[in-house]
Amino acid sequence: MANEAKRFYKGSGIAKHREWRGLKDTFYDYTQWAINLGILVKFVTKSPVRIVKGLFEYRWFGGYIGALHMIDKCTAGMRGPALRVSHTQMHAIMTGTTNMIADSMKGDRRFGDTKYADKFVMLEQTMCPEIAAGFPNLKTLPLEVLQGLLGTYMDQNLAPFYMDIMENVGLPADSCRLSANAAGVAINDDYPEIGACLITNNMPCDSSTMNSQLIERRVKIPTTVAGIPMRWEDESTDKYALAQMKDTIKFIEDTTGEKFDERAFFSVIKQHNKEVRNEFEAWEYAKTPYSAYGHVICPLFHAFYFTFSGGTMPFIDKAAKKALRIAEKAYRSKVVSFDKTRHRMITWGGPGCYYVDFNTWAYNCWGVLVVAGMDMFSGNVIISEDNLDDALLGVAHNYERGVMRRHLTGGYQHLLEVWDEAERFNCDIVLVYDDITCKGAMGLSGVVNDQAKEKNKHLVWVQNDMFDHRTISRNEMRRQFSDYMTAVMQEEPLDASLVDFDDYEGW
Amino acid sequence: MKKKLLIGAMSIVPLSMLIYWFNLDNKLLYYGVRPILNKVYDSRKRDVRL
Repeated sequence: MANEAKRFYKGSGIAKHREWRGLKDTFYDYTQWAINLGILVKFVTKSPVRIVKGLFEYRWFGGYIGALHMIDKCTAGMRGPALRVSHTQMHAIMTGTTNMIADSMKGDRRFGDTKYADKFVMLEQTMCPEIAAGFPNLKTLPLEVLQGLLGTYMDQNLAPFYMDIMENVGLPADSCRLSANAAGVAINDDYPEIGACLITNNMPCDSSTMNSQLIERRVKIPTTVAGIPMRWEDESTDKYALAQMKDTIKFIEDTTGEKFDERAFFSVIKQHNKEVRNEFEAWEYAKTPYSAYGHVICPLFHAFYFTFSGGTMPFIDKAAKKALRIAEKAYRSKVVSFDKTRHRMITWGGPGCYYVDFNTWAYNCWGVLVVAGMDMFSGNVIISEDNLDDALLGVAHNYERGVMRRHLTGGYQHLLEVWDEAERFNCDIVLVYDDITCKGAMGLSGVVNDQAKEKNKHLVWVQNDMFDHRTISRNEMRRQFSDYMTAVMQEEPLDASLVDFDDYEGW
Repeated sequence: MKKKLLIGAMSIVPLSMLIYWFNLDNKLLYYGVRPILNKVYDSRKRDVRL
């Protein structure tokens, strides 16, 4: 029996040495590591002084030094086509992320006033980048996501500092961790001072509204709220959605002096549609036993391009097509990339972001392959490529069906789509994350339990605290899942050393 | 001089392989760089307010 946990230092979870995947795959992994190093070097050379200043200025920036460690964790145990697909997608994620951080630092007015700062339309949380598609001289940059979600994937200690700041000034401690972190960054004055304007949005919950207000107090640029309807199936909301899109575009024109360019807009929308079509194609492979898509990087890739690209990052399409070529070849040759698979699982609900590689662990420890996750089904709207009103409505629809909206606030019936998706992706286990501070979604836990009994499906709940590993640690998440696997599924672990190990102090 | 450059260039690959295999990059960042950065962040005065 494997003894993989021996490879890591207790507490930190840092590997004593990298994984032996056989000569061919280990050498391939080494070359991909070298490419990742190259991406990091290219990043620093974009503005060395400002980037080093930023690293010392912002605590959240320090979390990103765990990037290579995160990639190792997310690809653990992978071989062959699956390893190649994940690395291909990860390079695109790294390129996009480092570009955005470099832009944040290059335009940060804290390090000296610069006209470059005025080139950016700042987007709060998951506001859609397509909104600025008609402004070829402008770029969008996310506020919050770089300082919270992405950093937490790399370092579980990033968000607790900011959440404590938020609680120390007397704000409610039981609010969503994503919002608590965003509020803490604002209170601690840790957002880069950049942008010509900021677009906030009507967030899915009350704590998100709170953090929007706190951010608005801190930033020194004009802001507006894009109020996009939540009930996305209700056609009567379409006229409001379209009006909001037009108002927001006018706001960008007024605050930047730029004019909306229809041709540029449709060029980005065409690219957006390519990204969505690539996704649909990838799903067809993921449904089969010969899938090269699995674990966590594939859903991360989707969430990344949905949130940050929306057709504005050409390398996303290129990476997706390269991954599809690898997947197609593996499928045609009937290569089983995940040969330890005993069960296929879909994950649903808000995951513990501090345990980004939970899927990888579930496979290596128990042989449970995660082939689909809830956020994969966010967005995915094909937008009109010739009619402006239809296209703007399409952008709104894409956003309405987005992360944290489609399933969690878009009507209870959409949270229950999990059974249909489990069937489509041939999953015999459904894992629902109980994000303990997400009050909206988990009000339906009783209904989910009842439906699992009615449908005679394997359902496991795993509690997490989204950004706060101190409440429910990674090991506690592992314990919950392992208890289910032994007590209900009557299984023995593939690698017993991975059932219970200490990585509490680690990145 | 050319010989030295050639030896230097040729040693990059085995050296980087060593760094890769023994995870020296992550060890340096976690045990070396991270504590220093944390000290820097702790010493910074921030304008903390609602």
